[in-house]
This record gives sequence, C-alpha cells and structure tokens, in this order.
Amino acid sequence: MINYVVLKEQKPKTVRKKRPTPVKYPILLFFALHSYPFFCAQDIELQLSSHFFILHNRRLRRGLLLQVRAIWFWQSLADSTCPLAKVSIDPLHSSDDNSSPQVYALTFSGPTLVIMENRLKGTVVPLASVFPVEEAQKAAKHVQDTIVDRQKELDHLHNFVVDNNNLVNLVRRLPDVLTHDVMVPFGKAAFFSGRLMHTNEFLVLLGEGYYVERTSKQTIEILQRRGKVLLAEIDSLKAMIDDLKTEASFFDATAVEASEGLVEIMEDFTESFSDETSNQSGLLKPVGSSAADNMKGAMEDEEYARVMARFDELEKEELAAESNEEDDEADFTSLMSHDSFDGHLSDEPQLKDSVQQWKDRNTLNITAEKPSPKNSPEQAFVNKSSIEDLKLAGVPKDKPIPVEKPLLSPGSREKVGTANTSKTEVTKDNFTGRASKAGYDSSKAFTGSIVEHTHGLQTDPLDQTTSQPSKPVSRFKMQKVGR
Amino acid sequence: MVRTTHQNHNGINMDKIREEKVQRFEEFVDCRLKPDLVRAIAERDKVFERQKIFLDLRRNIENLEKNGVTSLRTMVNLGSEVYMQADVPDTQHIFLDIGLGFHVEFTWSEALEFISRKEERLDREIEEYTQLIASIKSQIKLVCEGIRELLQLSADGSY
Repeated sequence: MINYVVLKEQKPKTVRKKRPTPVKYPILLFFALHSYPFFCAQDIELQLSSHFFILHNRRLRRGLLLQVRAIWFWQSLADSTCPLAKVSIDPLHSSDDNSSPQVYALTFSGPTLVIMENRLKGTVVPLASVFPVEEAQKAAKHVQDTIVDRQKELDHLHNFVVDNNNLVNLVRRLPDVLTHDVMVPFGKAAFFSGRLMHTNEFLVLLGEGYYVERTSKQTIEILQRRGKVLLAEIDSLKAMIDDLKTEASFFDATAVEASEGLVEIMEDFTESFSDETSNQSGLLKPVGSSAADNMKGAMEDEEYARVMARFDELEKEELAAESNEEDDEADFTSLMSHDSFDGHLSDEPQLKDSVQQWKDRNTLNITAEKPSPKNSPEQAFVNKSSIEDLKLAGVPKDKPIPVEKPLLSPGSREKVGTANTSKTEVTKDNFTGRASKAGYDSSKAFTGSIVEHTHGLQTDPLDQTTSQPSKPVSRFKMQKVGR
Repeated sequence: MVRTTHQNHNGINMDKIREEKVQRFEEFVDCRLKPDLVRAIAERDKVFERQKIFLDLRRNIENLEKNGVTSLRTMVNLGSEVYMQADVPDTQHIFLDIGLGFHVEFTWSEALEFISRKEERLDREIEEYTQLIASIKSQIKLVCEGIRELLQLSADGSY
C-alpha cells in the first residue's frame, strides 16, 4: 500500500482562508517506496478537503532538499501510530519564501508517496467517496450470498453424481440374477410386493420423451456419459465460485481501504506529459526551454562549421594523395579483401593465385613485412591489373566523390596521412583492426571510391550519420555498408 | 407567533414519532408477516400434494377393482429415468404408507377406507392452513391500513 505525504506550492492567503471547502491544488508526486525515495515527476491535482494536509513549498529546484526531507517525514511519521498526524518542519529551504512551510500527511506506515509540485493536472479522490464503505460492504455481502447459492447448486450436483454412481452399480448388478423380489411402487404412497423381470432390459430416457431399450452394459455407458457431463458442470461451477470469491475479497479489500481513508489518484494522459518528464529528468539542469533551444541551435551551427572546415581540409589532402597515388596502389591492393576481387579475377587463375597469396598474408597476420618497396614483378603485375580492373569498372578513382570526405574523423585522417607517406609505418598499426577495415574498404574500392579516405568510417559515427543523407550512394554500396 | 412556533415544534416531534411508527410497522410487515405468509402457503402446497397422491391412489385402486386385475406388469423407475419391467403376481394385497415410514398391508377395500380417512384428515389440514393464510393476509392488510392512516394524518397535520 502506498501512503501519501503531500507537499504543496504556496497558495495565496485568500485561498487558504477558505480551507474547509475543497480546493484543487496542483502538486507533484514523489515516491518513497521501501524507504528509497525517487522522483516520479508526475503531477496531479489534489482535491483538498479538511482531511488533507499540505506542505507548502515554493520551488521545484529544491527537489533534492525536499527529497531528503521527504525521507525524514516518512521516517518520523512511520513512527507515529496516529493515522492522521500533523508534522511541522523547520523551514530550511524557504529562505526566500515569504511564508513558512507547513507539512501535513495522511497515513504514514509503509511506503510513502510524497506529493510536491505542480506540472500536470490530476485528481486525488478519497476512495471512500467513490466507493462508500457501506456500499462496498453491501456489494461484498451480495457476492457472498451468490456464492452460497452457487455452493448449494454445487452440492446438488454432487448428489446427482453420487446417485449416478449408485445407479451404475445397481445396473451392473441387476442382470446377475433372473428376477429380483422387490416392492413395486404403486403411486407414491403404495407398494405391491412383486419382482423385477427381464433384468437385462432397461428402458432409458434420452430426453424429450424418447426412451430407448438398452442392455445393462449399454445403460452403464449412457450413465457414465451423463456422469462426465455432471463433472464438467461441477468444474465450471467451482470456477465460478472461485471467481466470485475473488470478487468478494476485492469488495472486502475495497471496503477496508475506503474505511482506512485511502485516496485514488487519477491523472489524464496528455501528449505533453512525455516532454515534461524528459525535461524533468534533467532536473538539476536549470535551463529554460527557450534557452535550451538557443543552445541547441548554436550547437548545430558549430557542428556545421566544423564539417565545412573538414571538407576544406580533406580537399587539400585529396590533392596531396593524388600525387602519391602510385605508391598508394600497392598498399591499396594489399588491403583488398577477397570477395570483391574474386569475381573479377576468376577468369585469370594466375592473378587469382597471387591475390590469394596476398589475402593469405593478410589473414595470417603476417604483419612484419609490408612488402610494397620490394614487390616481386608478379605482385607488381597484380597490383597494376587490379587497378586496371577498377578503371574498367568505370569509376575514375582519381576523382573521388567529395561527399565521401566528411566521413573521416580527424583521427582517421592521421592514419590516412601515414598510409600515404610511408607504407612501412602502416604495418605498425594493430593489424587485426586493419584487417577488418580492409574487408570493409574493399567494398568501397569496388565502387570506385578512394580507399584511403574511408579508414575512419567507423570511428566517427556521428559525422557519418549527419553527412550520409546528402550523399548519392550506390545501392550496392549501401548494401555493403549495411552488412 | 410564539404559539405557532410551539405548534410547529410539536408538529415536528409528532412527525418524527409518526415516521418511526410507520417504519416499525413496515418492518413488521416485511420481516414478520410476509415470510410467515410465504411459509404457510408452502406448507399448504405440500399438503395439497399429499392429497393428490392419495387421490390418485384411490382412483388407481378403484380402476384395479373395476377391471378385476389380479396380476400386474409395470415399469419400475430405478432412478435417473432408467426403467425396468416388474411383475406383480398378486395385486390383492397392497402396502400403504401410513406415515412416519410405516407401511401397512391392506386389501383393496381396507386401503380405500384408509385413503378416505386420510383424505378427510388432509382436507382438515388444508382448511387450517387456509385459515392461517387468511389471518396473516388480514393482518398485513390491517397494518398497511394503519400505515396509510398514519401517513394521511401526518399529511393533514402538516397542512
């Protein structure tokens, strides 16, 4: 059960004068469950009556203070056995408030719900006013009566079952002998002495006035089927009784809660609620919404400038890279991964082999020799042909797509620089990381973009996402990136 | 002026007393007389039923007598509407329920005599119950009339 400590914003004194009449006060909820309080940031409107007591407080930014204080209330109030205790506190937090705070509370044992400030509208209604105690008790009694009725029905059915079983036994035994001496009923008040004949012939009522002649065994079958139906009825009746019992217990609980003075808090859901709460989550950040907007705008401008600056920077780098192109190409091929090249080289076994060699080297983590300076003629050929291949693909590699550039983060640009200038340095890099990047880069290479410029693609996801929408990306590449 | 207020005061008191009286009477009718009436009617219905049983029995025995039936083939209800053939070789002797679980063997003439006596008794019982019901009904009417009068009076007094 949640009990309530109600804290409230200061109201004008004129309002306070007519306190006995119910007045709607805006409030904020604050939970202290199991003695661990946290902000709930739900705002409700409390219907005040003389039974409700309030803490007057002015500012939300004193939330933390209030939080601590709320625990204190809870503890102090939990000690008191009085269900409706008034608690006054010293006005620590109300230095600039022009009135001293007042604290009152409803019930104080168990987890406590503290209500503090206003944001959204809701209503707190004493449960007793919605479900009057007498009404709830009456409803409980009514349900109890229904349960008794059903119980009687159940007993009746049980009797039927017993009768049925007895009859089955009787029918089973009757054909044992040819005749039974019995008193044959004649009307309800008279008997003749007589005997049962044809003990294996039974006339069974099927319903609707139809009778059927059956033997003992067949009769037993019919009776057993009837017994099953009876059992099913009993089961359903038991379920019904269980339901009714739950209902009765609910009514009882409602009656008890209503008599204890529990209140029901209702709050209309509004769209703005989520916004409010999300703002609320940054409670300690004293930023107005307009200020936040300005700040956001400023941040966007700043980001734009940064991106543009990087564009320029990369443009220059591009030029520098072109001059080093031939050197790059060796490195470039070494970084190629299998899948993009296999398709192209499938008709040239020799080339394929050599490329495979490279691949093996890469995947086997042979990092020591990055062999571009001492390339064998064969390898050189491979490198050359692969570049040719790229050219045949129809995308001029010396004209990189400019929008590709902002994908680079400063860190990656450094890497590019090292790759361009000295290939031996590259080998110092963590090879596993490069290997994975190589696989990634190859897809870029296949579509004709410059490999070196996409090293840092994963390192700065923010830039990537911001620049991507404006970029005309081929569908194939999108697919690759998506992998 | 003073007198008027006094009267009014008295009137209010009287109204209260009358209200209480009316409430008491209504409670008496609802909680005592009406359940009694229902119970009496139920009892009488039971007696009616018994009377009908004996009436049927008398008619059946008379039928047997008229047709001179000496042996009888009938169906016996074993329960749950399961029937079996039964043979009564001798219909001359019949066992009658004389009450309290006792059954006495009668001949037809003896049985008819017993049945006529039994019927007389049942008739008396029914008469008693009818009178009881009538008296309860009259009491209810009486109390209802009393309530009506009280209400009328109070209505007169208020004007």
